[in-house]
Amino acid sequence: MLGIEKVSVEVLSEQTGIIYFGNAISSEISNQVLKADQVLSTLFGEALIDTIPAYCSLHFTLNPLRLNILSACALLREKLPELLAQQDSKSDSQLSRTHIIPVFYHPDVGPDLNDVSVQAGLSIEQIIALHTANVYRVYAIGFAPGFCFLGSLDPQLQLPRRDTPRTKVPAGSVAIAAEQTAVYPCETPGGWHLLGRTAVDMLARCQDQNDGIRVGDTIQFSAITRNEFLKQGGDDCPLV
Amino acid sequence: MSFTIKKAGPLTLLQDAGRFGFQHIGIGVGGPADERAFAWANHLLSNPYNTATLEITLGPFELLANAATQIALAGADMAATLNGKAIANWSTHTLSAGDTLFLYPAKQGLRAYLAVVGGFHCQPVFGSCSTAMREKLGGLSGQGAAIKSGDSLEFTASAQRLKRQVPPDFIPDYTAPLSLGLLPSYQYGQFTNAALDVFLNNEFQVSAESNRMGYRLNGPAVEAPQGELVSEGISLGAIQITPAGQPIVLLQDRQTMGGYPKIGCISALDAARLGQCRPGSRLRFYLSKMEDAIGERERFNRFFGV
Repeated sequence: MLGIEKVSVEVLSEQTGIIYFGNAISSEISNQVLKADQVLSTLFGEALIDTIPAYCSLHFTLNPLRLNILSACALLREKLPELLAQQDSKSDSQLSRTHIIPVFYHPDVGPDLNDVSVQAGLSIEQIIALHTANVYRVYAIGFAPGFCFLGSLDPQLQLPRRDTPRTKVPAGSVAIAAEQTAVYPCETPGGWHLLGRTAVDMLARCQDQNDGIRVGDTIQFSAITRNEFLKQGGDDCPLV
Repeated sequence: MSFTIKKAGPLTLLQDAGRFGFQHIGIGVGGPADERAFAWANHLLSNPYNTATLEITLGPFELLANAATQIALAGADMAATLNGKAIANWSTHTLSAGDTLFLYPAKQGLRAYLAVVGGFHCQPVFGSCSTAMREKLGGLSGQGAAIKSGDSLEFTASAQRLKRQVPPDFIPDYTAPLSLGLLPSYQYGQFTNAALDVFLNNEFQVSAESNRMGYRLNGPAVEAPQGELVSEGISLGAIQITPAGQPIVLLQDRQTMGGYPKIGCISALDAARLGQCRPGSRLRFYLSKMEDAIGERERFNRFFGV
């Protein structure tokens, strides 16, 4: 069980706060975040504007005329451990599905493959083998609509983010940073290392009512050829 | 009843108060870059707070009224004219069918807000008309497109003919030196005293690489704490420090999550002040109290009926 002393509640701004459950990635901590999310929605009701569940933190926004952020955080500091203990373990046992995402790994569409190869001391083939071997958990959906934060990455592939983020990362880019991996669902700035590209529309997959990707699900990547990628509607245009 | 947009200008966006309640699936809040001017424009017309207005960045801008109605202008001073005659900013105006409203490039400030009685018609996407260009959500089309020349903006006819102006004491001076309150939060405690000194005792300049997503600030490098941070939810006004030491203040169109260390936040109302700054503007930070930011927000929400 997660030690209560590891839970901290902090005020961020005049209408936002955050609950930290340590600074590590584990499915146990992720379950605590999902439980806290349910606790907040019950506890704050209409005063809660939204939440952002992440790997080991839960960000929340309150309507200041309904509930003062300082009072809310004081209340959480006092009551949260007890409320978490009371929360049923629905998130522990929720049905988890596995989604397969085909990826074309190549320097044309993964312009950091060579850099990662040098920094990690691995061949491109080894990078692809390691990246496709793990089954990743969806720890959060954020940063952009349909952007799934996936963990955990093989330790041999773990590198710091790029010092200067790219101002444009193409949609479908498959990327890594520290112990995380993800697919960029739409064109956006980004600081992760790009390994390849998928033709899968991640936002559409997240919005799917029946078979959609949700927090707690698992994702595995499979390597495909350029031809397969193009047949699936992929764009192999190199990054300019 | 409609307006025809004759000249959309460099960036004109339909914005209501924002898209609330979907950050957990990565859909950002968006909304007006200057919430204060947006609020005044709607308030002058007695519109509900969350009414879709036009956020006109920089100008020029021109529209043709196809029907009589009332509008309000607030925010950046774009030397507005109605059929060629100068009209006041921070004020309501009555338009007749055939009238032409013209806004020149902003003299001070960056964004003007144009509200119409009852708001512009728009099909909300995820509960909001706000245009999120990067996310391709909202706006006239629902696909996140900016307003284009030739677009037709519909509204409901109204007999309302108020004459209202914002009291002079409440009209901000966008040329005044800007000082933003740092709310110490996020990784504030992990920054060295030397880094905090650099941040709080120097002037910064708004970089040309600034937009509704975030404002990059040029100035002395602020040393960020070592070590990787696990990505976490980002508040409006959070101040990221890049590994190269550059502060980025995250605004309405920010990503919902990120992993760079943050030295703290500015309040949403300070973010609104920053939203009127153009590249090259100079600003400073001071250490602010959470209670003061809460108080300012509560007064704002009560006054404007947020």
